[in-house]
Amino acid sequence: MSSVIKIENLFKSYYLGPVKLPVLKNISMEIFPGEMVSLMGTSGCGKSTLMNILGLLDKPDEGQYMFEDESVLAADDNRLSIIRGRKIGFVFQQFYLLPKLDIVNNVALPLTYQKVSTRDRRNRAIEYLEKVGMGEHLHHKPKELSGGQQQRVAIARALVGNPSLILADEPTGALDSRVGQDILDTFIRLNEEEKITVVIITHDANVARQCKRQIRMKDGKILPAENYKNEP
Amino acid sequence: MNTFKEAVHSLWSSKQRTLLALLGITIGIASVIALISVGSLVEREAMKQFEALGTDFLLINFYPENSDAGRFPVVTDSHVNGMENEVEMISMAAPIVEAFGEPIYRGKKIDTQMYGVNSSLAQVHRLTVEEGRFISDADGNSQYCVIGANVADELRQYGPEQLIGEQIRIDKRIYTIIGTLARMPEGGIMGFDANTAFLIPMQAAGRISGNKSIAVVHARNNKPGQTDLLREEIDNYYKSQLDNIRTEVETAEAIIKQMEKQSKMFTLMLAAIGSIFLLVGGVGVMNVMLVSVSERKVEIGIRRAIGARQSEVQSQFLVEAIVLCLLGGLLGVIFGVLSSYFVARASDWEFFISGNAILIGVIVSSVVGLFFGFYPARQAARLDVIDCIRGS
Repeated sequence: MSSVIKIENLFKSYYLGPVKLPVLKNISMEIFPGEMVSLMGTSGCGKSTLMNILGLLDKPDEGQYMFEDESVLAADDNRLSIIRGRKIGFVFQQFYLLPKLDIVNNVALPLTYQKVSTRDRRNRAIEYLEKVGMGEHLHHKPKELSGGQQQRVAIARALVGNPSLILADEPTGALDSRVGQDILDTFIRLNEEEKITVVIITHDANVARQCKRQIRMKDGKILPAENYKNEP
Repeated sequence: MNTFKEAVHSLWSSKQRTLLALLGITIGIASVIALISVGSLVEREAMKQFEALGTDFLLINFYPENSDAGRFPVVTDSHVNGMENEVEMISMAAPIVEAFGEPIYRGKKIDTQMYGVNSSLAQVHRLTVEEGRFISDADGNSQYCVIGANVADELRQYGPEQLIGEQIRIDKRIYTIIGTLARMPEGGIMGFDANTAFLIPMQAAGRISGNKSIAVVHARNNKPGQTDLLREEIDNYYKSQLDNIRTEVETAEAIIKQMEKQSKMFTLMLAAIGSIFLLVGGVGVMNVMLVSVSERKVEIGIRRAIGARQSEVQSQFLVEAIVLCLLGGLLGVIFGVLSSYFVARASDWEFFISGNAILIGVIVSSVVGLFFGFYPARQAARLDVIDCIRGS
C-alpha cells in the first residue's frame, strides 16, 4: 500500500540573527491511509515546524517529501495551494472559523476554491455538519457557539473537501478535558467508521495515547518507539 | 460573481471603515463630475447665444491699408450693395454708421447704444417690430428712431405705455420714436445687442458724427466652413472699389471654434483639479485597504491554508477595492450631477445630464480602485501563511 506521507531525512533550521537554530534534525517517517497517528512532544521540540511542513505551509532546508507519491518540495505555490485545498484538512487549536460567515458558509469555504457550485457547496457543508453533530446550528455565527461546537464546525470544514489527510494541531488544547475528549472521540469515530487518515499534533500524553500509533519527538528528532515508556 | 458577493459582504460587515473610504472617493468623483458638467453647461450656454443668431453671421470692419497715407477710404451704401451682388458667398449685408451721443428722455439719460442703420439690418439680425415700424430706406436723414426692448422698458418707467411718437433729445436734435423692437431671446453677440439698441437712419447718423463712411457691415454668408475664402473675396472686392483699404472679417464660426478650444482647455483644467481630489480619495482607499489587510491576516492565513491560491486572495482584495470605489463613484456621480443641477439653477442655465460625465465617473472610479487596490491586494497575497496563522 502506498503511503499518504513519506518524508526522508528532513532538516530545517531557523536563524536568530547570525545564530543557526536547528529545529528538525534528520526526520524520516511514513503515514499510511486509514492510520490515526499522534505526533507528540514538549513545546519547542519541533513538532509545529514539522506540522507546517507536512501541511505544505513551509519547506524544509533538506530532505524528501512525497505526498501521495508526488514530490511536493519542487511544487510551486499554486500547486501547493491546490494540494492543501483538496487533499489536506486542517484543524487548529484556535478553531479559526471566519467570524463574519455563518456556520454553513464557514464549512463550505474550502469548496469555493475548488470551483464547486453554490448549491453543491451548501449541500455538502450541511452533510458534514450533520456528521459532526452540528446539523442544528446551520445559520449561527461562530461566536454564538461554545468552543467544543466551534471545533466540531472546524472538523466539518476540514472534512468537506474529502481530503486524504486530516492534520489537527492541538485540537483539544483550547477546550476543557471533557469537551476535549468529545472532540477526540469524534476523530476516533471518523477514523474507524470513515477510514479517514488523521494526524494529531499534541503535547498531551493522554490524547497521544488514544491514537493507534504514536510518534514522539524530542529536540528535533523522532524518538525510537522503545524509548516511549521512559518519556513523561 | 462569487468574489463580488464576498466583497460586498466583507465591506458591509465593516461599515464604518467602508464609509470612511467611500468619503474620499465620493468627494473625488463628485467634484470631477460637477466640474466637468458645469464646464459643459457653460459651454452650452455660450453656444446658445450664437445659435440664436446663427453661425452664418459675420462682421466686416474697414481700416486704411496705410494709416499714414492721409485720406481714409469712405465706404458707402452702394459699395455694400455692390458686395451683396458680387461676392456670391454673402447672402445679405447691413451697413452700420457709427453715431455717438447721449439720448435724453424727459430729462433722464437713457442707457443705450446708438447705430446708424438702414432697413436691411432687420433681415440680417432677424429683428421683429413690436409696435410701429422699422427704419425704411426712404427715411433719408429724418430724425426718427427705433428702440430695443430694454430701452423701451426703461422709457416706460418715466412716461406713457404708448411710446410711438414720443420724443428723445440727443444734443440739440429731437428724435421721434417710430418703432419698438420685440425682445430678442439672447443678449449681445459680437458687440451688437438689439435689446439695448437705439437705431437711427444712416444719413442722420452721418450728420451727428460727421463721418459718412460705413464703419462696419453685419452680414450673413451662405457657404459656412470656408472662412478663409470668404475673407479673401470680401477683401478683394473692397480693394477693387477703393484705394488704401483693408478689411477684417470676424465670423461667428471662427469665434465658436475659438470658444470650443477655450472651453476644452477649461474642461481639461477642471478635470486636472478633479484628479487631485481623486488622487487623495485613491490614497484613502489604499490606506483603508492596507489596514483591512493587516486586520484580516488570520482570515488570509485560514483561506490560504484551506486552499486559496495567492491569485485568489489577491483578486478578493482587489475586487473589494474596486467595489468600494465603484460604490463611491456611484455616490459621487449622484452628488456631482445634483450639485451641477443646483449651479445651473442658480445661474439660470439650461440643465442637462452629460452622459460622458457619468461614464467617466464609472470608468475613473474602477481605474482608481484597480490602481490603488493593487498594492494592498498584492501585499495580502504575498503574506506568509504561517505568520498569519501563528501570529495571532
